[in-house]
Amino acid sequence: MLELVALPAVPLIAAAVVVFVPKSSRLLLPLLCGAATSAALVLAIRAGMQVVGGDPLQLSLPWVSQIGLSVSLYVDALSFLFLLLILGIGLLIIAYSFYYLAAGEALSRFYAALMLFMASMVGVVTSGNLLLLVIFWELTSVSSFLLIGFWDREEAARRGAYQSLIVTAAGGLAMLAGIIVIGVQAGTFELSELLRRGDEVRALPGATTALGLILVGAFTKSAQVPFHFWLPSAMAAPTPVSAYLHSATMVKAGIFVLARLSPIFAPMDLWVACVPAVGAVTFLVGGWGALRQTDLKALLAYSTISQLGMIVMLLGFDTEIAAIAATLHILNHAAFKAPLFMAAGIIDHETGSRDLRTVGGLAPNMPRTALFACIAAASMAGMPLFGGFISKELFYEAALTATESRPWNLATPIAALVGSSLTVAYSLRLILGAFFGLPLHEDHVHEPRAGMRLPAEVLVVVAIAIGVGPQLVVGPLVMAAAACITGTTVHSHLALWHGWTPALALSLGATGIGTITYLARRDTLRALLPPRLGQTAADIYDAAVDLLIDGAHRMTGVIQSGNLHAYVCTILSVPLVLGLTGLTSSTTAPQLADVTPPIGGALLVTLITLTATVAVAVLYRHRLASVLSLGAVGLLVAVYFVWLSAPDLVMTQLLVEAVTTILVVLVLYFLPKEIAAHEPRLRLAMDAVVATAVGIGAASVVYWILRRPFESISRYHIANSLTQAGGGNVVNVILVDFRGYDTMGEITVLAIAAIGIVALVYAQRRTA
Amino acid sequence: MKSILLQTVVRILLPPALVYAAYILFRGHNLPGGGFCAGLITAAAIVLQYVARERREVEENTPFRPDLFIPIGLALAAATGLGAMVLAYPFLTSAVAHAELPVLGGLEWSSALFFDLGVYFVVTGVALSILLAIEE
Repeated sequence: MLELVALPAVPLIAAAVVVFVPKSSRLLLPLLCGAATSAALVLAIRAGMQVVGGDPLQLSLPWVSQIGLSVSLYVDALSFLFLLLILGIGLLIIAYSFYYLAAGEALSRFYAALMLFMASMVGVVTSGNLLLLVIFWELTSVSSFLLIGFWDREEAARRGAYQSLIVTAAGGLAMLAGIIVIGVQAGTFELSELLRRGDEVRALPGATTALGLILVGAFTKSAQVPFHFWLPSAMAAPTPVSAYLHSATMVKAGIFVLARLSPIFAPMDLWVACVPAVGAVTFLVGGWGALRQTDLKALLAYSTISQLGMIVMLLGFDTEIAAIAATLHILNHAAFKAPLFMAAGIIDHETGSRDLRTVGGLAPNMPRTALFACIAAASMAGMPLFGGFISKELFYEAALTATESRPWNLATPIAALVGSSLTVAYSLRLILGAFFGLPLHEDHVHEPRAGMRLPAEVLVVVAIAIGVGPQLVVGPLVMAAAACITGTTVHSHLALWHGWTPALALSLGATGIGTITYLARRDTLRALLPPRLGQTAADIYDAAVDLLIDGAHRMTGVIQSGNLHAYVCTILSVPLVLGLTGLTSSTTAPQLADVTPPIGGALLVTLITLTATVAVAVLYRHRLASVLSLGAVGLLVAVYFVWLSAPDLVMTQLLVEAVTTILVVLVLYFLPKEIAAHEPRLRLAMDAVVATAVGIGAASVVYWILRRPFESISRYHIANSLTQAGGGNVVNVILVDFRGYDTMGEITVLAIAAIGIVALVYAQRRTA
Repeated sequence: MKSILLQTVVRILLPPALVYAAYILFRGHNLPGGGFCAGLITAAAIVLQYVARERREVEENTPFRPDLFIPIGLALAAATGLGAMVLAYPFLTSAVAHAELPVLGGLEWSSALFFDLGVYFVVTGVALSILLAIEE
């Protein structure tokens, strides 16, 4: 059972190793990653053999038991299905990346981020503890950020990376909140426990709130309307990343969570009302968006949004047939979308463009690429003999069944029909636009190297295999995974031919309408629908980000005025006000201890000298003399510490004084020698008032505080210094032992301050 | 033009200053001193080299980068704390050992010394980084 830990651990270790492999070892990097992925895949298949038709495998190791977080792994058929996608397609992507990425790029970083992503994705689908799931979930956001922003010199890549991180990580936080609500009320975060007590969980007072928050998380990750806009922006990523993260795996994490929690939440009103509706809207908005794009990858991104919407819609129905359709379509979508992305990458790689306005008629030049792209697109459009057909048929059936149980819901089959017609239309547009018609590219374009095609061809073979012999190829797996979604046992049979059913009629209708839509596109359709459908959310996001940055600029302008005089006044006044408020606000008059005046004659002399030195520092117009007399002030304070028998303080004070004086002398080099003669009278007067108030205020605060009776801890320190810490110097023992944690924090702050100061100095120098 | 007198004095002063810093550092646990003071002494001694002598000449004779002292010090301090955790004690618990040495006599050794050494490195690095950035 412990081998389950290896599933996420092997890719994670690979990521940690790969970081240190130099980027020049172009072959070693993918080989290492491939080996790790294969090993994990073998382990996953071994586990999968047991869970398809059997009980889930579970493992639980304690971690942070105080908050209910444990390293629990839970592998059932649903996890296995996703593991196959993550690791299987991951392997193909690693091979594809080897040909796609040029030598000299930051390959170590790329493969490390890819493996980190793989590990976190495996973690998401095998987590048996919801808190653990959130941790892996956020890790997928972080690693996706690194991968989208891989070409970090490009503005679009940075923007896309930020956008996807902000949207999906915010969704992850919402989901965390929802999970905490559930976990705290139910008393456990363990998945198996929550699945077992589904009825009880649904009856919890916070269940609806929690479900709403979890849905936000799932919808952001799976690019559902209104959070879908990050996915097209994420297309700035290298194509292997788009094929892997944004078609096969990461965007399906939201779907996975919906499927995983479906046995618990699906009967709730919010789920029934919200999930199918959001899915349907996304299905349509994505389909319409795909029809409007000219960039191949953007087209595929919108198509992915649309297909994810369809799966979400199916999960919302919460019927057996819908669960089967959703499961099968998750497989199908990965098998046809990843090859299409790879085809887009090949076109980009060979022609230097992936815009339908500048590429076209490529079929004669690259027949094999055209062939597999056609097969994949046919599967996407739901043509018979390809995997997509089977799941599309089941989808119609599920939509019609959903209408039977809720007669008002006639919108469902209509949405299904319209969405599928759009799918047919944009599939045609993709294939005909890129591969057929007049060749737009004049350069000699040829097939890519075989290794770049091969991963896509493997997936296309899978798509055909599912299409021809669905029951034989994936039947048991799909049934077992669907059973995990419904929470019951599922006995059904996948078949290519279902007879003359209403679903088939819808399928034929969609093909017809889709073809007409494709032929009639442009003018007619643009007149019918608003041009920026689905763009509003992106606009709102941009406006919000702009507002935030603008606000930050304004706030900085106010707080950081750049006026040193104002800074000093603020820094002095704030503690004064706080201290005096603290003194005056205590309602009960404290018992004050008597003062034992420690001021003897010698001390009084020191005090007078001190005052005189301060006066010199203030009144003298020559800067160097002022600085030196300030140094003398420090030395006289050290004399005070001598009177108080504090040798450590004396030593520190003297040294700080020496180093500060060196510092100030260095700074003086940049300043005029004389202090400007004409300072406004009013400002001088105000400075005098502030200085006097702060001086008196500080003195009185100290005076009052010292007179309060309290049990001093110094006796404890003195008594235990030698016995417990082995040091005779109590001051030092306090610093490095008793209050070592404080010192740790202080030196960290020092380090940060030093970095800030050095950066400021050099930035200043560069602008000057 | 930098003063030849100052150059000579700071050059002669450097070794004793560094030895004195080490002395202050190690005696800190029992007598006034410690990592903070020792760090300041070191920083002052080195900065004086930069002030009095030609920068290029000092850099050629300096086998380390002062800003690297900061992460080294932080790592040392953190490692001391984590070392206690490895042995299943709370973070930063210090261990004490007593040794009788032939010449020096009784000696108390505390693992807090390594922590103080971390403080020393951080303070030296911070003071040097800031001063040298401004001095340049």
